[in-house]
Amino acid sequence: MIRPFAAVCAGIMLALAAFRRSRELRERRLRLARWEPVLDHLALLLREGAMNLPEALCAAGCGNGEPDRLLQAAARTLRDQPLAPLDALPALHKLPADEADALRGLLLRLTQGSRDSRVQAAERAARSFAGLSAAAGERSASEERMWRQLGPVLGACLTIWLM
Amino acid sequence: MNLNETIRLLSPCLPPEVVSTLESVPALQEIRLRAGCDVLIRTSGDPVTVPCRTDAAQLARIAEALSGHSLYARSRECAQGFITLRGGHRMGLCGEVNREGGQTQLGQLSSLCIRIAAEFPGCASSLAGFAQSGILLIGPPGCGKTTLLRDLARILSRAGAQVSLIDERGELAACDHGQPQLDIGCADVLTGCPRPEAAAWLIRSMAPEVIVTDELGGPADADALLDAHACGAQIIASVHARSLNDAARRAGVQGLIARRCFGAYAVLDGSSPGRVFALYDRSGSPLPLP
Repeated sequence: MIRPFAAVCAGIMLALAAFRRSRELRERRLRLARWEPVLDHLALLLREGAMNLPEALCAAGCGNGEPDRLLQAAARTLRDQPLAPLDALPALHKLPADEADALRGLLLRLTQGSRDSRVQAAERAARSFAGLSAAAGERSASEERMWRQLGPVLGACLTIWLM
Repeated sequence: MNLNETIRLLSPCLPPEVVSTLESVPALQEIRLRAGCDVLIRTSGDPVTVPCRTDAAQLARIAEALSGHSLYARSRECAQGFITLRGGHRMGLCGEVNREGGQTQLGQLSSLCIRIAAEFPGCASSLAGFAQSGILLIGPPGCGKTTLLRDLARILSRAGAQVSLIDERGELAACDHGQPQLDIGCADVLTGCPRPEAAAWLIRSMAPEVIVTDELGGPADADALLDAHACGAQIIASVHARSLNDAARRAGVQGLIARRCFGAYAVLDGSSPGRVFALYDRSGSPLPLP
């Protein structure tokens, strides 16, 4: 009795793991796709120069996505601890290394230099996120589908094999 | 803004050693930070030196923080050498200046001077009667002309006059996010606009009865204010000079004095801030001091 139950559980868990991987890839693709419009908006606000940096970060990140939340966290840090370096923002640790590096560079350059250099930093980051997003899109389109289909099949195979 | 509020405002942006000293000094007047030097705090008493050395990178971070992270958007103000902070305080900037394509830009910072704004409500009440028909405050730098102008704006606007301020360098009202940081009553403030353009702007848009402006400079200023006066606005202004005769020789006010745009002239004494030592009527005849 225990053996078939364990086999079914193992099969379900494998399928869930595959679904989870598929969801992660999809979320990363969506997150990366959100960065580009957010950073384009930020570059525009910085070019206009009508807002200070925390206000511009909040206005650019006015949605509910993860990029928006990260920019809002950066704005809060600037207001609460004006001397704290932004590139050490805790929220960066939760991101994959390539995204975190691009953001760390952006946040460092946003807090120093002339208006032009800050606008360029935001534009450059938008371009680099567009590149990451395109690469993630290509990868996830195939992998996401593969894991979604492979998950139940592998789960069923594992269940049968264990039984 | 009182001293405690000022310290609370500045504290997150300054090194902790400086903050702990600020809390113990009487009547704070100025904080000077220089790259590679100890911090100097000037008070109403003896200056205090804080053993805390900052480098150029730290100064840049402090300036950025004090400006509310808006330095990038205030390059025009920075090029004039100072920016106005919340509370009307002023941060003077000094360092390497780059001039490219006719534009002045401040590069690496070497010194910061944070001057704490002080207000003296009622200091111009003795001049308010003369100011209704326009007045020119004459005096050397640092004799309290701007403080008197601010108080005149406050008194006249509270008395019901439509007062407009031309605050070219953000010294009179020290607006932050559209809100004057210093008490100027209920007046309209046009900040950062060159005076000739600003006078026409205000006449067109705000129909002022009184225009208040600081430190008249070139002939273009005089022409613009003559136009505003011809449109019915009274002019309250200040000029750097030692006497009425000196002022009459300056291009920025020559035309205004010749056309008798001011109802009175007050000459301030450099030895004591805000003290009027001579008063003249429209034609230049001495008046008894109030």
